Amino acid sequence: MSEKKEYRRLTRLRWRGGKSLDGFFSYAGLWLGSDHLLSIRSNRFSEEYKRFYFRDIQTIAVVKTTRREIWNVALLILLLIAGAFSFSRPAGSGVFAAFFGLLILMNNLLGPSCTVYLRTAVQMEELRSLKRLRRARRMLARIRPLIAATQGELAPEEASLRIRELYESSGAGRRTRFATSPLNLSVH
Amino acid sequence: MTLSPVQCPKCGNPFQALPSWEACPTCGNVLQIEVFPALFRVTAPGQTGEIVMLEGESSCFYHPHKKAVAPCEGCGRFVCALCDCELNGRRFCPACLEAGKIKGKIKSLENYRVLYDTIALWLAIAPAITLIFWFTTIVTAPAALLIAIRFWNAPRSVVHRSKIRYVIAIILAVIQIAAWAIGIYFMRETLYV
Repeated sequence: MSEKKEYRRLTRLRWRGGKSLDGFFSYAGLWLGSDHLLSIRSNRFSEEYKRFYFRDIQTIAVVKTTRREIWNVALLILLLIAGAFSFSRPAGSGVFAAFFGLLILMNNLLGPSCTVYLRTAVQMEELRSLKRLRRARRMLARIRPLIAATQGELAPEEASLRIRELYESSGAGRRTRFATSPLNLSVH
Repeated sequence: MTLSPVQCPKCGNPFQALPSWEACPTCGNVLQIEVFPALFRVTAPGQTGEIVMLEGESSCFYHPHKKAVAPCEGCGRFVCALCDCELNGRRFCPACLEAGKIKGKIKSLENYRVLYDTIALWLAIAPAITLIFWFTTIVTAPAALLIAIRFWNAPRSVVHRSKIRYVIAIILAVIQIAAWAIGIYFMRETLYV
């Protein structure tokens, strides 16, 4: 009997990356459930799951990063080294130069890089499987109507008004105004 | 519960207006934020449960002096407002929630799974393809076979996954074991003849 598919894939398992050793050996993926997003962290032999229910998602932030440019520079250096060697030993190094050239091409074809953060009432989670802007936009286009169907629509004017209200009620504006005080005096 | 403003995910700087590919004034990161109505939803404070006032009124299983508000969908015990835990439209007592998480009975609480099918497959493939360690297949092949049979019915990944990995692992493991058996047989034959 065929099992009914509960999840649809949004992203493949991708290298998670990060500064820790744990991040180096783990992968992240994103799946779409009927009422939630499922974020998977895997080391290939086990999986950890985080569910983000559409009714709980407060904000989705997409931050542009310089990852693509950094990779371009790194790969270009390797390409130049391989290219320089290919003059002396044309047979072997040419393959390396072509390989790095291909990587640079792929890196640019994938488009600008980004980091996506999803916020709920209790956490801010980085979606590590979304590292490219184009893919992030595609994912957003797919889940936006689902979130709207669960939470309802928010008119842009109303949203901006309420964001300002939140900003003011949190005292953020006042804190900013007194941020230069050397004594950090309490706000009255 | 107080609501927090829209913030930069990198530096935590609060925004007065929704940024749309603008640089954060504090950290300089260019970002876009989409807001959903849940941001403005005030969460109701948790309830403590009413005290039983009348004789014979049903009370909470865990707090006999508190009035029951619902039966647990896991065990059927009556629970008070404090013990009434709502999960995806279903109501559970704390004990059932805990048990559901540990035993994996409530799927939406499951947050970890071991992928035995992948382990079996890797045990069957990895030593064989790394030609240097081919001799370890004498251990890894039976181990792969054992894992595949032992965990055949164990829950696999929450997403997708057929039993194809188990099948491949079993086939490869059987081939490797058979190869070892034939090899040992012929070695014995040549030694004793």
